[in-house]
Amino acid sequence: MSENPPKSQTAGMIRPDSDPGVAYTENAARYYGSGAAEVRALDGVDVSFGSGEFTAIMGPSGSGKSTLMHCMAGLDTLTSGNVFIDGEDLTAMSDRERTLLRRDKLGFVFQAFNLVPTLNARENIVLPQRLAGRGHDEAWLDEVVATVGLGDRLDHRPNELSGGQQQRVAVSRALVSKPKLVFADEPTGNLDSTTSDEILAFMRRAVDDLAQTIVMVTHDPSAAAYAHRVIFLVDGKIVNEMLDPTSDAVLDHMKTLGN
Amino acid sequence: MLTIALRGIANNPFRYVATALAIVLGIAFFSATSVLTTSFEESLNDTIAEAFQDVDIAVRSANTIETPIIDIRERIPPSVADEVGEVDGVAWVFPFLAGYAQVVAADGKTVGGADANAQAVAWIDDNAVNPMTVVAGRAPSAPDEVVMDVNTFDEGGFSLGDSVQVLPLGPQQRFTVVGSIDDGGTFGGQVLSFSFAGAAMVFGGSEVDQVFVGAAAGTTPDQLVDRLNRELSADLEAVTGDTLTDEFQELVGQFTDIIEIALQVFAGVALFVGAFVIYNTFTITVAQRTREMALLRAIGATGRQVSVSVVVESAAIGVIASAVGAAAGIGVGWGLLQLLGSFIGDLDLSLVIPPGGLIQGVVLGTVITVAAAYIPARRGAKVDPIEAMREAAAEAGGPARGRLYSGLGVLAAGAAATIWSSVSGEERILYGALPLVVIAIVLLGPAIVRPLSRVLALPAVRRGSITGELARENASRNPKRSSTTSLTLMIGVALVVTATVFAATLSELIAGDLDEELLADQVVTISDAVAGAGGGLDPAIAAAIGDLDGVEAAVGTRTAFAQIDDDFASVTGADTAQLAAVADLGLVEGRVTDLGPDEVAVREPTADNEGLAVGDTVTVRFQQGAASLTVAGIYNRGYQLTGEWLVDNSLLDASLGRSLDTRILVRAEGADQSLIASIDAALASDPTAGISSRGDFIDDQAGQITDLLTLLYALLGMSVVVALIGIVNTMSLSIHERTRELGLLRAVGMTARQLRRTVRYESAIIALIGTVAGLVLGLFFGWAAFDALGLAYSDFAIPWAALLAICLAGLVAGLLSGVLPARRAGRLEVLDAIAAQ
Repeated sequence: MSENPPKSQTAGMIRPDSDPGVAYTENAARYYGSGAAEVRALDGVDVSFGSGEFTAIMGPSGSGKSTLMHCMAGLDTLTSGNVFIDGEDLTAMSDRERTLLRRDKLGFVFQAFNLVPTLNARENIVLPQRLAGRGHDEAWLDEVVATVGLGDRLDHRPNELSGGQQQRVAVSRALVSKPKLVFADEPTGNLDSTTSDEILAFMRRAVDDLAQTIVMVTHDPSAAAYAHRVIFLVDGKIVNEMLDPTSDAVLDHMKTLGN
Repeated sequence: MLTIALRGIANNPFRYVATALAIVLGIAFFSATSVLTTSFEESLNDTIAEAFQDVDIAVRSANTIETPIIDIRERIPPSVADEVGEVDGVAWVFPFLAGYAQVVAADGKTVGGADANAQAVAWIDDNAVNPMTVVAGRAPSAPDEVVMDVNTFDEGGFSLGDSVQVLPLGPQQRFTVVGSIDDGGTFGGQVLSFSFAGAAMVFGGSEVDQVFVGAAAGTTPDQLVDRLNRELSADLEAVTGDTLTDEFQELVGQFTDIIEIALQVFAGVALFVGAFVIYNTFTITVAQRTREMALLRAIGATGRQVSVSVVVESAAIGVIASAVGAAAGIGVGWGLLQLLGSFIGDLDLSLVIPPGGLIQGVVLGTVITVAAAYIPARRGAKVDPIEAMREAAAEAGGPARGRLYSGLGVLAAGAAATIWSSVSGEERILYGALPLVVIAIVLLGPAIVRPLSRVLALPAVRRGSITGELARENASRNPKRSSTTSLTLMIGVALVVTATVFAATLSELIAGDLDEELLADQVVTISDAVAGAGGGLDPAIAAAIGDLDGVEAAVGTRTAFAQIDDDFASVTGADTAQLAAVADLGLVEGRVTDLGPDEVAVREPTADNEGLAVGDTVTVRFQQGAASLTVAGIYNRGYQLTGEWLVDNSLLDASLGRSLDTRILVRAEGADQSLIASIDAALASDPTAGISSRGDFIDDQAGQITDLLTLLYALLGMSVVVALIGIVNTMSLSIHERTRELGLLRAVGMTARQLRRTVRYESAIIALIGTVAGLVLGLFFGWAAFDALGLAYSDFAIPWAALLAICLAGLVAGLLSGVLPARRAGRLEVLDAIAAQ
């Protein structure tokens, strides 16, 4: 898939059609500090993520890509603007409402410390549903687990799993509750390239075959190449977008951003 | 490195709050003990010195009855005063006699309640010698005149000229209140004083305790003492006033030393528990700072420097916390002194701050802190510089195999010793088993944490609660940490359970004994305070009850201290002609009824010990009078009612002048309300008397032991509190350590409420582990204490309700200990937590 040239590089043009997407922001802004020390981590971002889409968010360090993800996931609150997930406005929600939304509608894959060390792989995967006091779809669990290739490791605790296996468990957890949206924050940042490729390929398959929606923050052009679309953030603003990216094209574009 | 150590405290003071608190509490307790006993002793010593300052010499009997507590001196005839007065160089002579008397107020009751202290002395007509002074009115001169301390005078609403009843005499005998006095704080409580003739009438005899003597000018007390000892009979001895003061002060010193040691044992337990808390805190913080220490090592600090920095840190905390504790101890000691003063009544107690005791406290607290932090500090020294580069930095978990096996080995040895001791009946082996079992539990602690938390979390997990499951896993993820934390609680709980079990067993034994021995249907009793002051009921009361229609027998019993064949004995007197109607003494041989004034009956164990048989003779010496007695009978019950030695009241009356009943056992089968009312009426002449049914009396006697438990619980409470602080501390540190994990849980959908519940559950599980371990250990200890008594195993009582209450208390305490850490965890900012190092 590295041969495809970028189809569009129009800055600020995110989703031209009328579909607002599974998740979107309206003029999202997040400032830290005040006065002279004020940092504008997000400075008026309008972005939308459509159903069944795999989007990568890229940008140099401090560009606001993690802040955007955290705010959209209800882990951080906006200074101004709005975030909508599945039609609901996060900015109006209490901490508890946001927690329940995360539990019921979102999935997460972090770079590290993804798993609860006292629970085994299976328990980690079904943790959000257990927290909700709900059962899980056993057939679907089996399918997800089989697809990521975890079959015989389900009874192991995280410290008995390799880094790659731990990330597979994290991805399984994110998918098994069939969330509206999965947020992945540098999911392969700590992995070697072979393992990275396996995990990313699986994530892409989850989008293509299972109609999952994934938003991934990364600084790795070859990871971004697995996405349908790459959004580039600089200084808290979206500066560009690239559809069907290749790692070379992403790398080239990153250079122009003056990283 | 020193700077780093002190910055470490300054930058993260919260981490050390619990450590400091554990030391502050323990040292405050320790110092308060010292402040209390020193103040008490010095105040009393001042009073004693003042009381005897004008007494040059005291002449008293050379014979004493050695009780386990103090030596009681025999009384001497008042004629000794005349003899002494004729000796050269004697300026003045005053006979001194003291005893029990109590005034009855206008409302027919005693002043200050049934438990008030009451004493009386003969007035000494010399202002210089008498420590007491008249406040209002005048000193007593006629036999029917009485003066009393101002507090009693005011509290009882008396006026000069009042005609009053004085116990133990009946209401017909009237006394006139002629004055109120300041007793100089010599006795505490109610103090009455009569003229010498009046006192002789109230006490039922004029035998005196001692004779106070003044030396004439030109004769030193020492010279006069020598002269008196030469000239007086060998039964008498003369000592200087200084010797008298020294003797009293020594007695007070012995008493306060015992109290101080007893209290310090409890303070020591609290400090021991505190040491565990400190050890745990430093173990956890050293583990959490592995990276920081590794960085120091990487940039060139030696292992020694790293461990010294931890030791310096602990020393700084130890010194500050101990100083605060010692200061707090002064306040607590002052409070306890006030409390003690209010119990004793009217004692001049002033606060004395013992610098030695406080310095001891500061040194002790510092040493304990440093010692407890030493092992963790050594561990800090072993940190490898490479650890600085590693990601995870938490204490390694998992019970060590060697520890498990050695624990099992020690446990097996302890069990074997226990069985051996119970088979062989050799108690000393059991004492060896006790420390083995404690060591085994400490060694096995980490190994039992997981299975025990599994069981304890079962109720929550059964409900399908994920929070319960997470709490269980968290409690057992670091078994060493959890076990050290819970073992601190175990110590307090074990001691509480030991006391509870032992008391329950004794209580049941007493109830069982009484149920067998007591045939009376009603029992008349007096308060312990009155009995302790040598008081009691006029024998006329028992006689009056015995004369009532429907009463088969009313038998007064009384107690006297005596020396039998040179050993101390507590002798019970009773009307033995009627005793069989109210008590079943379980006759073994001979006869225990109708004892003559020259006969005695002995309980079988004592008879066996002394090798006595019916027909043998023993010599008995009371505080007044001696006799040769023939053993008339041997009995095997009666432990509660008559004790080891039983004589007839006629012997005591003959020897002691007047002896008073401390109990009246009444046989009146099917007594109705009107008979009870008649008995009550017969008791109206003495408001200190109360009547209870057989069942109530037995419950009351059996319950007295359990009353002592309350005091013990209060003293052990401090170590339990320190242990709970330890749980709060461990939980807080664990939560800090798991920040990222908690952030993850919150990110994937755990609500703050669920998180708080998880933390509280975990805290409850740890507390319950300690409680359950303490329960098991306490039962074992209680059994060992019981075994030492050499009683039948069937008598071992397990107070199930109390044990269940202790478990519930452990659960509640655990949940409460979790509240603060839970709140802290619940307030965690998810984003910060995920990003945390």
